[in-house]
Amino acid sequence: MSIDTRARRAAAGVHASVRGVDPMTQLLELKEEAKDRRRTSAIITAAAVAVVLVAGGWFAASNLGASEQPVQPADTPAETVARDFVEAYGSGDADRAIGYLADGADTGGLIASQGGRGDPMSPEEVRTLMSLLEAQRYSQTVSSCVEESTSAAGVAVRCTVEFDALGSDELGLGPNPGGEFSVTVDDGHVSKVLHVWNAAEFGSESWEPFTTWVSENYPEDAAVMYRYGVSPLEDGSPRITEESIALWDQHVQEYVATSGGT
Amino acid sequence: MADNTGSESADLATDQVLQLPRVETFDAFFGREYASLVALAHALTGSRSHAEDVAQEAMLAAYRRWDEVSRLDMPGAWVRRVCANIATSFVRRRVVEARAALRFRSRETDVIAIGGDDEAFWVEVRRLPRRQAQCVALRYVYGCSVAEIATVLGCAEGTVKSHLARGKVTLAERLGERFDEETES
Repeated sequence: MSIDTRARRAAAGVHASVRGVDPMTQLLELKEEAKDRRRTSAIITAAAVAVVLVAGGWFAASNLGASEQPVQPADTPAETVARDFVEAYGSGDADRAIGYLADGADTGGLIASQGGRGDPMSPEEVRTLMSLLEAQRYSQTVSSCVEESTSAAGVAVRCTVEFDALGSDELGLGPNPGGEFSVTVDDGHVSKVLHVWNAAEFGSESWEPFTTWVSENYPEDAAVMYRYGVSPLEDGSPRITEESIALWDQHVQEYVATSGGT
Repeated sequence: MADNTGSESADLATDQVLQLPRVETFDAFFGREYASLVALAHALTGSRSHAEDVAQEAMLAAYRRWDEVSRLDMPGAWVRRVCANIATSFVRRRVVEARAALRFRSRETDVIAIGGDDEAFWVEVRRLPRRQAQCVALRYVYGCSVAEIATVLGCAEGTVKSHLARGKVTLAERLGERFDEETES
């Protein structure tokens, strides 16, 4: 069967799944919800955001062990393991991405995409970093994964990706071609990984304008979002905390909307 | 904020006098778009219980800005983009799900499960990179053309063609189906 035929059948299946939905009942619920939210004061909203973040973190943490983990036989080609990991990481599928990591994997290089080089991160820290990427509206398409060398540490695979972030796609500035993952695969698992964005145009067209915009419009928030000594533009990399990520989500959304996207 | 519950007859009279183009009421827009939006959310989230939460969140965003949204050339495209972005964003989905949990009652959903083979297809769609998944879902759930997907997602048609082609190649490989090279239009 062709993939188009399969897709059309699957689309019919998804439409059939919503046949019993009654829009009018839901419309009444929506209007009630809108009224409820209007009544909420700014202080209560701020408190709710805090509760939501805590609940979201709890929800994510409570699902860590429950979800299906990928199982790769040790003889799976390193290129396949690397590509699957990179796709899971780039699509925000934290459970799958973490499932590819070897115990004690050196994941400090994942933070290189954010302008830093850190110590190996725990699975929960990797999950939090992936939340930051989501807040930055990061998306990618894998262009290639190629084995480069083999050593006692494992097989080194280089994956190149085209990526968008900070609304570069919605603002007509992407995709950016310079994304790169260097992945070491050992015994069917990822033992070391480095992720860089490598795109001068992304820096000048997307990263720097956003940083400038936040610094000018929300200087207090910028101090939470970035760690820096002089200014976020000079030497700032994002703070990987839930408070920071909530602000990245909020301000990237607003930045894209005010710059012509939605 | 528009008065979404205002008198239709009063609106009609004013429009006739001033010869203004009719702006669709939110209720009519909701009635026309809602079920398809739930289908899109169901395909992209895989969750029966949260598909309606995600669709409602997108519709709520439209309701609160109906003054602006109703005057867009394609209000449907706007709400589909919001829905697709929420459905594929880890952070925004968690906020919607947590907000639903805070209502202290679960939504009694009328969404039913998708059959095995069809669900297997959507599982693989959800494994695709975010933009590819959005393009494939809009293509098949809505039957959108490349140009329409580009309008919904706010990107170039060439980008949509590239995402669709890559997504379909990956899906064909993973599902063991045939990929026929065809010109996307």
